[in-house]
Amino acid sequence: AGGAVFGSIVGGSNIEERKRCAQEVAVRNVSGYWIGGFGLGESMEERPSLLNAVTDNLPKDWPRMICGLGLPEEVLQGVAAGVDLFDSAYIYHLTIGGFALTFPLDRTEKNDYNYQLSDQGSDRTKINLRATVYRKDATPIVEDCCCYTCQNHTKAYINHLLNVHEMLAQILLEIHNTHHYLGFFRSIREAIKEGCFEQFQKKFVQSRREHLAADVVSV
Amino acid sequence: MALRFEVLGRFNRARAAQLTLPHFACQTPLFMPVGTQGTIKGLTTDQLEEIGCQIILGNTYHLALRPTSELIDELGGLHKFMNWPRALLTDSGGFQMVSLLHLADITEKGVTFQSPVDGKPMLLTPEESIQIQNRIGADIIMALDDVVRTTITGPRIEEAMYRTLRWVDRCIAAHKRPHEQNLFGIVQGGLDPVLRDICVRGLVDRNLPGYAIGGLAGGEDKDSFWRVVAQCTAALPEDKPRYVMGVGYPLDIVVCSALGADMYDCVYPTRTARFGTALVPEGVLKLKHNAMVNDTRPIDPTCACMVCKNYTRAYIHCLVTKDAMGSQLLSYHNLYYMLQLSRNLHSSIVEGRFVCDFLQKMFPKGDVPEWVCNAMDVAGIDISSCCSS
Repeated sequence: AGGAVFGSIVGGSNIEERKRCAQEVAVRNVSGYWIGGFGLGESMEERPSLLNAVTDNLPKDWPRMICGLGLPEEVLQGVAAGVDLFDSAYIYHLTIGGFALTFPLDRTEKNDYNYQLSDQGSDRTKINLRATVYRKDATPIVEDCCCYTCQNHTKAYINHLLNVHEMLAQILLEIHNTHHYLGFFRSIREAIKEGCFEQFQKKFVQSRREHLAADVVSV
Repeated sequence: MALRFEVLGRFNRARAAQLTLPHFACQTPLFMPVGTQGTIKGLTTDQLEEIGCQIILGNTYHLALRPTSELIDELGGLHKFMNWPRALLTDSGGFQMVSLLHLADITEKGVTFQSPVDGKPMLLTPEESIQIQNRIGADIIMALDDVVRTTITGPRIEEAMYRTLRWVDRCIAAHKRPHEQNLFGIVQGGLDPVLRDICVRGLVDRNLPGYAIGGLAGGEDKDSFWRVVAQCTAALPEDKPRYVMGVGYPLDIVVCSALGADMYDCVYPTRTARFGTALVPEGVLKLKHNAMVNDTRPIDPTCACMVCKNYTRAYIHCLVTKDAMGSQLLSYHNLYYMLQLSRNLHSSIVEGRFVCDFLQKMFPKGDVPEWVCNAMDVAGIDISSCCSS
């Protein structure tokens, strides 16, 4: 009754089927494309060609939505292939696990080697507020974040809320994670507009693996 | 003494006052939401300010267990820890004695609990309770009292009353921050007017900044309840705040205010929200009920809160049966209702009309309970226009 209808594109991990499905849906009278069946076990390596098999065969004028790509690196793969809309439960799972996103959002060239190796086995992408190391941490989740949670509350308080099973913990984490994740998408849009998305993607992926390289060197 | 209490208006025994505390200047009568573990379930401090919350109650027993009063102190006190700029009140941990009695042992020294976290024995003495509360840093702290249920009888009540007086002296001696935190004494004595009178006089002698009426709201009949409140408010000093602990239902607050009480706390509004029940002028509205499925009206068309302005009963019905958001929205509305009730009491005590308006909405058929009529009689408020008999 007056809403937009998106056509579904499936095909599993089969490049030929993906291509065939996309070509068939492309000639139908739909307002956009919903790409399904990703994030269900295909590897990071095989995903780009599967995505391209779809998007190469879709008209450029209509939006492409994908379900199941949540990790920032996965989102970047989707964007690189020409996807416009992303839907996933990534933020929800982070929040209920007690995690908060911390990966840097700014795109300025920085020598980011001040990363400190820590005992918790975490990285620069997210922290788990349940960790006892945060019991007395009176700093916000991300220092210059302007979300409600970071402007008003400390890691120590959220750690306490998680320990005593209070609902406010999830509320505060969800606010921050949503804000941070949406900020990531804003960075992507800016990079695309400035014509440097490819570098953005490359640098982002590299920096997330740096801590592993640093760990190897220090052993 | 770290407060100022100024009566701004009266109607017989009822008073509208300004209670100035270190962190906030409050208007009484007022209701204090209970934020046991350093949070009001599901609401942000922003939202609490938005709905006009003035004082929040934190519980010494729970906070001492997690995250511990030492940690709170190290991080600058509970106000800073939870980022609440207005007033805080901590209770002594005493009420848990009554609720966890099968695990507790009460002696002259103090109360032994079994820690629910790790099973270790915990001893809460008057001194320890005050030290914990000093570390937490609330504007008002409560003396550790020996509280007994009003439903029991016998010599235990008298023993508890006298012990409460002895413990109050130990609390006063242990209190290290009298210029920043106000120590309130708690009147005990069960339902026995003689014991209550002794306790009131004993506490008044100690010249405390404020007084609470304790040991009620524990299952006693309403008729006994209001009589104890009436007796205590009549005997407590005019120029100091009076806090009826654990009260309660909106009707109880209206009656106690008519009798001259100023402060209240209760888990009822937030707890009932988590069961899907909203507070409305007519009484309660059960959002889980099937009748709500297609009801596109707000919870209360006369309510100005964010929930009533933005959500329908039908939507909330969907949520309360499935999602934590439902109880969060209902908590917001219910607290707004209680705080609006407080504001209305404050602003209309001088006029005296409010009681009748309130009773007419809650009892449109005029079936006001007898205990309420008796209490209003003593309070000197004419409610004949609301009663059918």
